[in-house]
Amino acid sequence: MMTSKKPAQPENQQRIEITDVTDDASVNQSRRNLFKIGAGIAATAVTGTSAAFVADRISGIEHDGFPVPLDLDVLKPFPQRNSIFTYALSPELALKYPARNHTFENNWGFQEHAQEFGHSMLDISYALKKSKEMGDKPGMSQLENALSWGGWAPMRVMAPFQHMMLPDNGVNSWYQGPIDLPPPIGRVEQVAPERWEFESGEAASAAIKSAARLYGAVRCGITRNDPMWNWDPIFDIQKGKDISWDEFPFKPKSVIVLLIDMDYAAMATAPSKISEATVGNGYSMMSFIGSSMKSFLHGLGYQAVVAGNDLANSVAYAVSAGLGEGARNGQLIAPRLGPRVRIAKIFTDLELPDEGYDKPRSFGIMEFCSKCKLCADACPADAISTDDEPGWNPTYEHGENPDYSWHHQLGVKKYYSDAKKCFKFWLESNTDCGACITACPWNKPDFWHHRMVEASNSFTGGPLHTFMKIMDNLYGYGNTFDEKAVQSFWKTGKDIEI
Amino acid sequence: MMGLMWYLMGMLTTAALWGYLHLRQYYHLDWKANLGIIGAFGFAWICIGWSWASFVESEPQSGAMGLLNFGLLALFLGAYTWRKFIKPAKKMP
Ligand code: SF4
Ligand code: SF4
Repeated sequence: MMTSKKPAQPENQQRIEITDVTDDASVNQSRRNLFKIGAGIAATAVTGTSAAFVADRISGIEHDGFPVPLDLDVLKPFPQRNSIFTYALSPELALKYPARNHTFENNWGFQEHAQEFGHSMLDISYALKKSKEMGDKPGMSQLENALSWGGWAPMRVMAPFQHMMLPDNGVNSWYQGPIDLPPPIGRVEQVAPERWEFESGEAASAAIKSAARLYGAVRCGITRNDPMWNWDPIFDIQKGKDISWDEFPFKPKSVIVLLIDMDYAAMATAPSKISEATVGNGYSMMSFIGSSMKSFLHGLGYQAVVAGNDLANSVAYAVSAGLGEGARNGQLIAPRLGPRVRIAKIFTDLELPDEGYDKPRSFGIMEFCSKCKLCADACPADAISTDDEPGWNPTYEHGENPDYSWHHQLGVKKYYSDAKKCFKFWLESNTDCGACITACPWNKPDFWHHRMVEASNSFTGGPLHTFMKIMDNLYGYGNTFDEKAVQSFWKTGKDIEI
Repeated sequence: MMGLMWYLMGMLTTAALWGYLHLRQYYHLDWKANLGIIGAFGFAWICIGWSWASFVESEPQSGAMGLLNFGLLALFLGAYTWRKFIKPAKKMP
């Protein structure tokens, strides 16, 4: 025993000493325990905070406003007549803005070339003739032309030229009134006479997204109608004139944004008629799912209009609805899908309480873009910005000349692409290209290892992003003009054999 | 194909756990040995999972890189751990 070895001492003193020793020990012990508990709590807190940080980055950091810097003195709603597609298809706009043709590539002439584009879209014989003239390269034979022809077919019937921003057409019609059916049914209302009232914003959001999932969308977000992102004025290419939002059949309150994915194996062949086929299939699905969503809202007693590329800036609305981030290549990048998505919008007068709307979220994609530039390297037209950071103005050659860079909505801090060069390459290659989608490291099929890498890209940054970009290349992803991908695509049918 | 991969990896994990328990009977495994074993197993697991998935998604270059990078790492770490931390710690009979 501790005390037995000590010299004899008065009992009380000894007791005091022992008590002291015991007290010291117990104090030290409890300090140690406290320290351990403190260290444990700190470690748990650090681990918890780190885990929360990581989880937060992967599922996206929520923002109250638009997550990209905006210059509200400069930012104005974008007149649709300033979009490349609209200008290219409109003889009226060619007369009104001749400088746009003259300043680009020695009078290249958008309208003249857009004729060929339109012709290819509507006439398989013409499309085949063009492919033959170009030497029937891999991915451009009659087989692949036929595939593309089939991919676009439903859209050609349901909402022709919605991809070229033609509004109020086919299932994208603005008409909300009754329709006449053959006898004995006769006249029927499109919009149900009674309105379904949802219990809460959450219930409405859940119901809308469940319907979207059922009809085939891979993502759905809901945001408020924001006139800043609407084409204003709208331009009707067929009538050759501006249309005011006053002519829209109702005051839109909400915009439901749907993402439709395109096929990874088909996109891997870009630019080719196979990648064009999955783009066309995506547009067809936009019309199909969009018209189902419109009818769903009609059935609930609300007015609704489907839009593809018409009516508004799809990327801005998808960002507002928390579905992804705008990227260097000018497209939306959605987590787990990358830029391999098409965007449809439903404008409706259904208004939700605040909690029914999604918030914009950032996933570290723009940070990755600043280190990446793979899309810019892959772009055969040199149309994508190679700037290190996003800016307020186009920085490409002649970008300061408004007669040359007339197609931008300024006032958004982003990477400005020269969409005219892109469009020209589409016509020259007889495809809708898509190389910048294929090359992007966020474009990956749904396999666990890609989810792991993508998750790590969300919460890391700087040199690690550069490393990941280099690894993506070394691991053989993102190849464009890849003839082997064409052969691989034609074997994918095996996947659906029993 | 991916279902088969997960099934085989489940089997492999069970076999690895059984092997580990077996190893503990004959060797004193300190924290360094344990860390080495976990690391080598982790890399081997990623190697199989990565490469298999890459071949399934028709990206053979990624599959080959996965085998090379993660597989070699698993081999080196496993061999190093065995020679430095496991083999010298054999229990006396
Ligand atoms: S679609 Fe092709 S041409 Fe256009 S920006 Fe992308 S890579 Fe360039
Ligand atoms: S390729 Fe790279 S730079 Fe381009 S959009 Fe994708 S992540 Fe951004």
